[in-house]
Amino acid sequence: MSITGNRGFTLVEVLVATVIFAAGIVAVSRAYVTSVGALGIGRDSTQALCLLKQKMSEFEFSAIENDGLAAGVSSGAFEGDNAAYEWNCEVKIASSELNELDVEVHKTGGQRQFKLATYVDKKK
Amino acid sequence: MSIKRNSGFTAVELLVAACIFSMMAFAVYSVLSVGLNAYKRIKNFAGSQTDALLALEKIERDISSTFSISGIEFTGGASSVSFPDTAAASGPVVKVTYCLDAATGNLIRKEQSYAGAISRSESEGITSADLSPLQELKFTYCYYDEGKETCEWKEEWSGLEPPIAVKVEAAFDSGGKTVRVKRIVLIPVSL
Repeated sequence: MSITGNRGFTLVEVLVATVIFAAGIVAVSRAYVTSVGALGIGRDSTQALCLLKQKMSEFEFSAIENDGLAAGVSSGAFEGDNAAYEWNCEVKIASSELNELDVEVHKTGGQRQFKLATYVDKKK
Repeated sequence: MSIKRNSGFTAVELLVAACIFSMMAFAVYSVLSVGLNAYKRIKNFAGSQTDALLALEKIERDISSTFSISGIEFTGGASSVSFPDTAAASGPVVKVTYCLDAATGNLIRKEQSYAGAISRSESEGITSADLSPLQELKFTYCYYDEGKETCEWKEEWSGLEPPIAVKVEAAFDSGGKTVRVKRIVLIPVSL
């Protein structure tokens, strides 16, 4: 066989190589998309937790200010830059002296909920 | 056709090879630069946010674990506060100060030994740490008004007894956006 016998790559070989290359590119770009998405979720979670702590401290303070909290349910949305987040608050009777205070925060339309619970004095 | 005829690469072959190489190099470079850009953005908005929130957490913990002890007063202004605390969970008593450094915009936590604090020395036994850059920091203090029987807020505090609560309002930059955080820290010893 002379040197001209080496005719080059066949179409099939080129196709296979292209497919493998494309698969690699897709995997890399999917990794990017996933990590950017995870970053957004992480930021939202941090923000939700921060707002949850803020709301909880407000309720705890109002419990002290008003000598306790009465049982009931309330909810609302945050203001300004945090308008995308909503909170729910529930005060339930836990014992003859204490009420359970549950505060929950979530992003509007989001699935993740963040919840804190504590005990406060019953409203006299 | 002898093997001798294959004496080297032709100019066309070299050009094609260089072209292919440069295309590959460009592809690799663009992937790398997209990655670096993403990294920068992430560092910008996630890094400063976590730093500032951790710093606030530290303020909260320190304020809520304060107590009254003779020699160290609870002194608070609009953007700085100092109070007695323990250095660690059961460490020695120290005077802790939080303030915003006007020059660098950093939140600073200072710790002064008890001896330094009661001698009212400006420098004795002080260790200081930069926590995080903040744009704004504001403290307000809550006390119980016996006459009105309500909780009232004021801008300044000075005395051996700590207030019943401190409101901490802070603003920090997160990826070019100003984020505002507000917390009410209750002080158990004075409730």
